[in-house]
Amino acid sequence: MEVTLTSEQKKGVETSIVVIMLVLVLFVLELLAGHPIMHFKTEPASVAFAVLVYTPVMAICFLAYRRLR
Amino acid sequence: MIAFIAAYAGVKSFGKERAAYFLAGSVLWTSIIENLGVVDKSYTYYTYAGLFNSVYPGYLFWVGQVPLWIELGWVIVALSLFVLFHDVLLPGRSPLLQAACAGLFAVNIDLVIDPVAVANNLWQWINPSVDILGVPIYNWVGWFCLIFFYDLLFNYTILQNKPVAVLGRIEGVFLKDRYTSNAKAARFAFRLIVTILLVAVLLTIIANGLIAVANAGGTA
Repeated sequence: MEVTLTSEQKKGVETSIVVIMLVLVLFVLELLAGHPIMHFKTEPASVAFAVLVYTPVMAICFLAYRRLR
Repeated sequence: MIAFIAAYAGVKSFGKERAAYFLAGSVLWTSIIENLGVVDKSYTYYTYAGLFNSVYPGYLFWVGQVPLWIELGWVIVALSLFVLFHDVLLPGRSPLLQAACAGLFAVNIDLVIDPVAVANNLWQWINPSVDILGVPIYNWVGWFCLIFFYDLLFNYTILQNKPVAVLGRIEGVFLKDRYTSNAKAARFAFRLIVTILLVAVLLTIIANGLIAVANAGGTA
């Protein structure tokens, strides 16, 4: 599908992708952090679940980025 | 800080005026719905209350019973997904499809956010319900509804400036010149209130149904 955006709109989309990635990174850090307050129950099922739900987000962001190029 | 970056994305994508509508509407929208959830005792944000001293409420800035960062978090997700699905991934497609995809993608993102947040006590679910990873299923229904309906609301009211058949007669009673640019703010506020009522009723019915199921057959 053809995407026609102005340069300003492209900046907006690129920034949106960065924002979503920042949110994910923030929660990965919380997931992995060892501090008692930030400690997530890292059972294998939880980690597998996290990988499963991260993959579509990464895929969508990648697809959006490619369409901009 | 991320909310400011999201606001920048909004200004670049929609222009200043429309981005301002999106941000103000989004904060109002989530403040009211989230506060209703707290008042209904579905969840609480006072999990860190008293951490540093007896009067510390847990977070510094609040909108009613909800920390400000929660509203800003909603702005981040709603605005980013709106831009992605409307401008790049599904441009020119049906507004319903765009809103539904944004809603589903928001649920996907929250499948990561909520279990981590609950495990870290950023907030706490109170009522026993049908849960996945300690999070009630109606939470994800709520995420879908909030993003889906706000997406439609902003798209029809601010971007497309369109009449909505089901609201036409009611708007005609309250808003005389409802489709001129001068009436945009009034029309947006009116539709925001109507949609909040609709979503609040819908989520209350779904949440109470799932709570009843959990209470009848034991907590899942």
